[in-house]
Amino acid sequence: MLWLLVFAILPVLFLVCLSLWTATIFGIEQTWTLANYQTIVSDAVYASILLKTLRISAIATLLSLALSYPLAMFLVSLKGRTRSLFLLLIFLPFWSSYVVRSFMWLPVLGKTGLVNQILLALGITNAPVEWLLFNEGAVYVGLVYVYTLFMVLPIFLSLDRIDPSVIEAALDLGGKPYQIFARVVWPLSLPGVWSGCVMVFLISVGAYVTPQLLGGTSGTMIGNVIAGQFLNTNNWPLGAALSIALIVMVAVLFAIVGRRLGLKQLFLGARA
Amino acid sequence: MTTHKGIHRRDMLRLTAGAAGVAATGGLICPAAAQTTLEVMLPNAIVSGKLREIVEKEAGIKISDAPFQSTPDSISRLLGPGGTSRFNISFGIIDFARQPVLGPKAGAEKVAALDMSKIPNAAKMGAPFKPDIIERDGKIYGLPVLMGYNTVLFNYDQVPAKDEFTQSWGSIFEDKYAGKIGWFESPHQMIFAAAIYLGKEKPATMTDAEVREVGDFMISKKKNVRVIWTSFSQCANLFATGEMIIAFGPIPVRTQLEQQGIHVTNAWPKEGVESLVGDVFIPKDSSNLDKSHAMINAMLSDAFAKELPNVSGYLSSNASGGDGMTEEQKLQAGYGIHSGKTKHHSMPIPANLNTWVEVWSRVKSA
Amino acid sequence: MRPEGAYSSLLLRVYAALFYAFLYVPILVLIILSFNNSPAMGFPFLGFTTKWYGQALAGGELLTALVNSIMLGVVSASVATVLALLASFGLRHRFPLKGLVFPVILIPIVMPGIVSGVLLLVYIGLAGLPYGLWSAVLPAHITWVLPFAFLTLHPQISRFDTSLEEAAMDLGARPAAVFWRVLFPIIRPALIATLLFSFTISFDEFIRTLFVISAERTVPIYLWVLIIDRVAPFLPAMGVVLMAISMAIAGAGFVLTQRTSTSPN
Repeated sequence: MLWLLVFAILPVLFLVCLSLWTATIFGIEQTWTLANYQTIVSDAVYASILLKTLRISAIATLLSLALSYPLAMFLVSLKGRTRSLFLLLIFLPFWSSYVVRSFMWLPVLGKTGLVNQILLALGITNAPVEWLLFNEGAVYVGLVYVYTLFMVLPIFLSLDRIDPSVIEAALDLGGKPYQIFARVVWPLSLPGVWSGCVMVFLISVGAYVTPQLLGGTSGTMIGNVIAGQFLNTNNWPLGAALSIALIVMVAVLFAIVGRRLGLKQLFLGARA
Repeated sequence: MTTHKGIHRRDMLRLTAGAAGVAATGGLICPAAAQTTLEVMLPNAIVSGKLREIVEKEAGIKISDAPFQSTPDSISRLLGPGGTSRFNISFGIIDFARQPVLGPKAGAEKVAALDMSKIPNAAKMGAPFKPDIIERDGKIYGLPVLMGYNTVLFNYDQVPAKDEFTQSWGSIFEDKYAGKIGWFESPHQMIFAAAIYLGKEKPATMTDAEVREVGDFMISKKKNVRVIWTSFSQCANLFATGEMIIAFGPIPVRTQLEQQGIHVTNAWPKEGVESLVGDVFIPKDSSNLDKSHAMINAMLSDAFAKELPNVSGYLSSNASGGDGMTEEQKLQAGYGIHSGKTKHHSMPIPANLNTWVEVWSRVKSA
Repeated sequence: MRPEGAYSSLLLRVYAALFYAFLYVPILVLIILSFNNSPAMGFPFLGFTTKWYGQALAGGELLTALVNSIMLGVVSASVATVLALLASFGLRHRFPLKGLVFPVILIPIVMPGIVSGVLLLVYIGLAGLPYGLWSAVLPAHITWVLPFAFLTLHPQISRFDTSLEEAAMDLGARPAAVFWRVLFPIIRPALIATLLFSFTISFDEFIRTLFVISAERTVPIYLWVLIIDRVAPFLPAMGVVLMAISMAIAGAGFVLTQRTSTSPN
């Protein structure tokens, strides 16, 4: 507990202080000011990049959910060794660093990449297609790819816990498959769905590597702007203020979701 | 129940102590293995390959370099909390770095005064570099090691070299190469380039309104840009894979690509190139001052000066740097900037830098 | 009819095949390109070479990064597991503000990655700690790993009955003996699983490390430096090597956990 106090809570206070200081060409001056927050509020650019980040994260989460749910169903339908094997195959790519997993898409989507090679070879296009990479779409591909495991796993676990007899009973009562899915399977898998969505959303909101490598000029997210304030433009206080803004937004979202579902449920529901 | 708690606490303490022991041994092993390693914040282009060998041998050290992105980045790390003890040697483009490095007044320097008796090679410095020594009250705080320039780089298979349009900054803003252009993630240098193109003779003295005007121009041209690259090597890789064919670029990128056999060269924009001189300095609370001085001395040596243009394309501040070069090679290395043959703009730090940064954030987020 | 019957339609299988292709095609491309005799990362394939592997493995940089990552992983996993164990045991008792413990433990997970990195950078700078592997990156890793360790360990510990310890104590066992003879054997599989899981989390950590590390390298940082700061045509080869290493380490861990959790204890 003390550890977290020192390394998780105190730093936030430091960050709040920093966000209230001033950046000059001679470094950070400890004059208290709200100017950084005023900049964020008054300049529509910051609000729009924050909203854009939330939008990208939300879409990436939904895409990930749509792609992962059927796979989780597939995994549940397997038994014994085959199941272990296919589960292992899901885990395998995720044991490599997400830096690798992000940058792997460059030679797939790039001008000299695999997709373009195939398109050219099949004669579908005459010149390499350029819109595959360095835009928002590429960021979605990257985010979904990099974090699928966090979605597949909790859904799989909660689907797996559904008692087969419940479904049998529903079938015996003459339920059609889609009815059973909508009325029985989906509601029972919700804890896993929520848990996966929360994880993927959280990780996406703080993404830096994926948009940096794949996003080009239009796929910029708040993470890149914050990192820029620290790494490229030497305005730590503004970066700190932007970070606080992001924390507050995430906290508010969490308070809403957490109140409805309960934190424990969210994080332990699918695991325990 | 109290005894109950007691057990756990004592046993846990023992376990924690064990883990701490592991941590401590880990800590002991590390510095021992890294005895004479200097941690430096220098562009990789000037501490790689043969240059690295030369410096390591002459100074008797091992170099461990942190990823260098740009001068504002290295300065930001120096000025940030705890920054003056983070690296042994740091680097910055003089016009940008001079003020923040020296601080607002005497005694506020962020870097250590250099002991010139330990840097005998400084005597070999060429005359044009003398104004770029960082000095205050007779003490020297930083020494120029190189000069170079930023310009337009292009793939000469796809972009004609002998073309009025190519030889202008306009080529990285206007529509002709839309979707194939690269910009640099550096508010100072990128807005500067746009300002030169828009005909501002002294971009550093632009008013807030003028900076915003340049920013609006950049936002209107952003649709033409494919990537905003953040590091030299990212720029080089994007050229190599054909993702961009024309871009804002520094000279080391051209040199690296030439060595790989990729058909990229640099333009001489008619509005003038961005000229720069790079200084090295020792952060104030750096450990191992002796070896840091030795490393700076090695970076000013004849051997380093001879190899620098080959590895990085930069020109050494050592007067012997151009020995044995042809006229054309000299021009490419940037000698024209000193002789007056090449039109150029140096890039002083603007007084309203915060506006520049703000405008850049807007360009990036737009 | 078994529920599997309802699920396993042909459609689902086709979909799964596509999904696995999505997962593995990029990896395959990386492997192919790692043998491509071309200075640029991309197609066309200009001939087979293993020279990039030679370059990737030459020099001690990869090894140093690997050693750093492994030591960091071992230490942070051990510390985090111990702290998580303490917290889990603590949570079995009643105390004021107990309700706050859970949300506080979750802070490092809930905090967006980029913000965590920034937080630690500012904190370590302002607190005057030196940036570096053991002074800054280690605390960062422990903080990041701790909630994961706790989430893995807590359900196991909270499930476990306090009456066992009480019985042992009633029989006159000394506290240390109670821990080692009674508690430890029961929670051992959970502990091992937590350690391994924590290790993998630490081994892959990137963004928090990036902000507080000095010039040292961990494996992910080394790779990032290659992507961002070097022109390295051996990048795909390096990616393949690193992937193989991470997979081997995590795979070994996986097998080990399976064995400990299935073996009768």
